[in-house]
Amino acid sequence: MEQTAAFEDDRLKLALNLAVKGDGQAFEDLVREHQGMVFSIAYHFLQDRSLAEDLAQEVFLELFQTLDRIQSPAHLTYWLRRVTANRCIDQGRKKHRRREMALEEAPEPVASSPSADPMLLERLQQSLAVLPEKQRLVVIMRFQEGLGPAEIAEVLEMPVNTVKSTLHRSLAELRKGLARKIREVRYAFF
Amino acid sequence: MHFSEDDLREALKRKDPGEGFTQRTMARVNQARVNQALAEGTAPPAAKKVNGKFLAWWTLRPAWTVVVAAVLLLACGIGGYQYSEYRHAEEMRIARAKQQQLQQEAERARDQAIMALEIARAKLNHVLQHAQLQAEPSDKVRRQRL
Amino acid sequence: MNHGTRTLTRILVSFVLCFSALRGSAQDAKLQLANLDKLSAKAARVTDVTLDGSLLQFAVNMIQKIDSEDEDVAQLQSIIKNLKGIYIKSFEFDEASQYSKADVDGIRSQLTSPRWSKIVQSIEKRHNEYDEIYVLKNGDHVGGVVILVAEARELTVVNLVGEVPMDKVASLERHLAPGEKQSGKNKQKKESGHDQE
Repeated sequence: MEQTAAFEDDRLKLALNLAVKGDGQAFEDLVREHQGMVFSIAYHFLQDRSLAEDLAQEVFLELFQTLDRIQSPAHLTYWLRRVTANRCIDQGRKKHRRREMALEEAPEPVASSPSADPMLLERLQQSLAVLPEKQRLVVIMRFQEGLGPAEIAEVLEMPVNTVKSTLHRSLAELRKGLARKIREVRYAFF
Repeated sequence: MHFSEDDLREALKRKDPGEGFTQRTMARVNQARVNQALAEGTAPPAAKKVNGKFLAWWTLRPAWTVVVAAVLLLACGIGGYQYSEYRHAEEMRIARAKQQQLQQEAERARDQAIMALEIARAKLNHVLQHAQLQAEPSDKVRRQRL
Repeated sequence: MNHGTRTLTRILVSFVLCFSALRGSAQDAKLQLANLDKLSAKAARVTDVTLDGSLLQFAVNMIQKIDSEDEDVAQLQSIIKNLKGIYIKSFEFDEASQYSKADVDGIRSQLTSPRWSKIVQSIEKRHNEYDEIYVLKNGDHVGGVVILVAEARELTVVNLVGEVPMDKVASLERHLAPGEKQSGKNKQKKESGHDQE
């Protein structure tokens, strides 16, 4: 029997209502539903698994404390993205992570599709790590979350045109960064 | 080296935080609840010694007050959690049953609608064909002759 | 469908589309068919369909969600999305003359208002067959359709309420029904789907 989107939405609405009333199990369901999204945003931003887990937990802690402000499942998703993004920026500024990453510190390889080059994907993640924070988040929201410019603008509280130009600039920088990485590897070998 | 947007999507695919993340998160949330409750609790004022030693037993030191309050809170919390778990399971069961019922009703309505439109089609064409046959009696006679 | 029927269908559709706008409500388009229920006792086969309100909306949602490149599915989706109600009473009898003229006139009397137009009529007195199609004008659109088939051993009233694309209904492929193969199961059962709003 096909589960329609409407029934899925009803299920999440029910869990949200119960969680607001203090139902721990319902809150746990919400955590389980969204932990992938929150963790992934943090991980792709910070490129550090344990930092990302810490940050994700803090987001859910904050959610627990402000649950009564959440109006709907869609609002919850938007709220989680926004808070995760803000915490990523705060964390990024604290850690001053705008530096080149050495190959040894590269994040674990992604499970890639047969057509994707694992080395390419690894290089892409490394290049992403050196982008400025806002640019990094714009790229993550676009390509991890599949958001459009208007949605990204809402989440990151930026004008839409700025999002579009940032995205364009970020992709150009990623290409430059990737080309630089390839040259470094070649130099190391030859 | 060139990359496509699909490569970027692949590189930024959502990752699972790993086993135990939910439990660790819930543990932090529950801990925060307890800490908050403790922080909001105040030590009971020292009881006035109206009858001297008779009432002295319930004048507790602040540290012990906190411990007692924490134990009571934990006991209430566990009991409340279990009750809410049961209530949640019950509500989820009712919600699932309701969803299933809605789904079945929707499928029945769909089948009825399709059948109804088929009947409408059949009758519409039936009437049109009869009307058309009546409009062309000469054709009919010609066909009969053939 | 043969050429003649297609031509007639086109004329029918053009006739409907050419009419000037007149206001109408869904309520006017819905007939009262309860007076026919007494015929169930005499009928060998009864089909009774009442689909409106939230039940029809369920059906529309389910059908709209069918993800298919099949043209016939698309046709079905385009027909049903603007319908507000589907009402069918169909009685098949083993013998002739099991219903009276008064039963049929009770239906026809609801179609006498100027907004209803009889656009097709087929009478064959020899076989006691009186088939009619009525259309309710609702502005530039069809607000309702009634197909009345009054024959010796059958009385059927099909009442569609809402914007009815007649050409699409006429050309709907038969295999989209719960199936001619299943027709025994669907037609022999006394079906009724009532929704009280």
